[in-house]
Amino acid sequence: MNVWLIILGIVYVSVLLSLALYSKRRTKSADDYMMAGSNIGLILGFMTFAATLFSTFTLMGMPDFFRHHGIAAWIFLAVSDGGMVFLIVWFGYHLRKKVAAKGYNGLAGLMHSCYENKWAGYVYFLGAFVFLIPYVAIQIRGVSIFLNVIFPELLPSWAWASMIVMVMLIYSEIGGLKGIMYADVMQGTILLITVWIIASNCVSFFGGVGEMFKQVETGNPALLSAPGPAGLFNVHFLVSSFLAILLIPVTQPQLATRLVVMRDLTATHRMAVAVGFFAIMIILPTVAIGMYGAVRYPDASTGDFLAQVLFFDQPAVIAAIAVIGLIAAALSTSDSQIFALGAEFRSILKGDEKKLMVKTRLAMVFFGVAALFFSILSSDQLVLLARVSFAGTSLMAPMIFAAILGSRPPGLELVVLTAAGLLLFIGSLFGLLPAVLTGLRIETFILLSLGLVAFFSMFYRRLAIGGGDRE
Amino acid sequence: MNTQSNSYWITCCSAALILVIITFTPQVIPYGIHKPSLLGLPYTLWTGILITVGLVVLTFIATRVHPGREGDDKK
Repeated sequence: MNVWLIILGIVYVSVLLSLALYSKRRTKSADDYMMAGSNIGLILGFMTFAATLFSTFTLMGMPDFFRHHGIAAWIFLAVSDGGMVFLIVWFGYHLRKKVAAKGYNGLAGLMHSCYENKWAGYVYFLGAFVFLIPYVAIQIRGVSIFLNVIFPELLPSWAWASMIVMVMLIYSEIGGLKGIMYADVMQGTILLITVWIIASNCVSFFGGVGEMFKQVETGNPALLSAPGPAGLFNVHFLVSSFLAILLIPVTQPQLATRLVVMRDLTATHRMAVAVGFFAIMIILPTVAIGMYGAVRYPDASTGDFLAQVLFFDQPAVIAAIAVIGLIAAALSTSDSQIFALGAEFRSILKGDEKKLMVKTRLAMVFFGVAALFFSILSSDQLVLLARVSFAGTSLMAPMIFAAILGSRPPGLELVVLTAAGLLLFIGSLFGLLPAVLTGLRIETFILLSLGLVAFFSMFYRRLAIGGGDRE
Repeated sequence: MNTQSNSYWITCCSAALILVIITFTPQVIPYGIHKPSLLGLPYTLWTGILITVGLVVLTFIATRVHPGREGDDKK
């Protein structure tokens, strides 16, 4: 097994670095480096979007989520992703139209430009930083706890995490966004193949899908329906999660940027459809892995369950592919997020292009190190931490919609209230505020309130200033 | 943007919205009930899969009728 892992590991890292160097040779300008030349076709666009969206959270978090909370996890993620790809058709069009008029270096810069106020850019950047770093951290955390369980004698968890961050920073810094996209194609493919092979083995263990669910029913029938054994999947949780996931391409810079850099609107739209099918293809096998865990390892810790199902219960070659697949899943999301944060940082700065690029590269290293520290301190509840990240960034959606849909600068009140909303949500995460307000989860309450403020603010401006017509 | 394309687009949006709303009703997530099953899959899982496929198919149709596609922003 170790031989297979060493061979595949060397091949994987070599291909990653080769792709980064290939991209570096083709990079002629800062725009090429940061925005991949803004001319991405369907296949590259679809694979990079999918690999960025589906990560350790999917390959490790979702099986564990299915194992603990049951099959309504499908509604939590897959239905939400179905809604998300539909939203891309609408939002992608308006975002690209706004970008054609205003230019694009990052969403923070676009907010600055649309609001004609630098604080709009600062609030967006800080919101993205606060909620994306934990998301990057859970990718690293997921893989490092897995590697630590399967190789307990070799390295401690933090050392695995440090190695992953180092590899990610090296190839991201060399290849730029295009290099990351090339790597995403390889990593997305590995992720899909890995998850299907392991799921097939899990179903074979039972002798079929029907028999698998029969055994789950015998052991814990609550897993087969909402709200699940712990009562997590109630309507409130599912609706608030739907809204948070729906708005990911609107609010998270690594995905919004991928809508902007597509060659044209047709490619953007086709990419949305392809991502929808990919979502079904990648989430479906995680159901089988989760149900396998529910029957065979119902009381195991997250790390032990994943080590068993992805590694010890698999033939040597498959186990080696699973390790590479997990690392690929973590890297393909983390690199895009760290790079996107760097791009956002650059978009709120002004000055000489060369100095800006140096600052941006240094900022990426800082973001990587911040994620590394958070990964060492964070818990093993990968999906719930990811959900906090989605919910946090989703609070900036009304501010972004007002900027994208209005033809005149939206009011500063939206920026101020968005900042207040982000602080309230952080307060609730630390237990300083209740998690439920007026019968709604606090993030849903804040999001709906900000949505109403955005609507009335735009309506008022249309009446008072006459600038509400869409471009 | 022509009116016919707009009405198709609005129909698509309405259908997607209806699918999403249905998802969060007891029609799809009845608490504590996992029958009837289909091909061995529990109720909420197979209805959830159907809804997801429905949303992706609607996304495909939406890309064909979206009013903005006529003025495509080729660079």
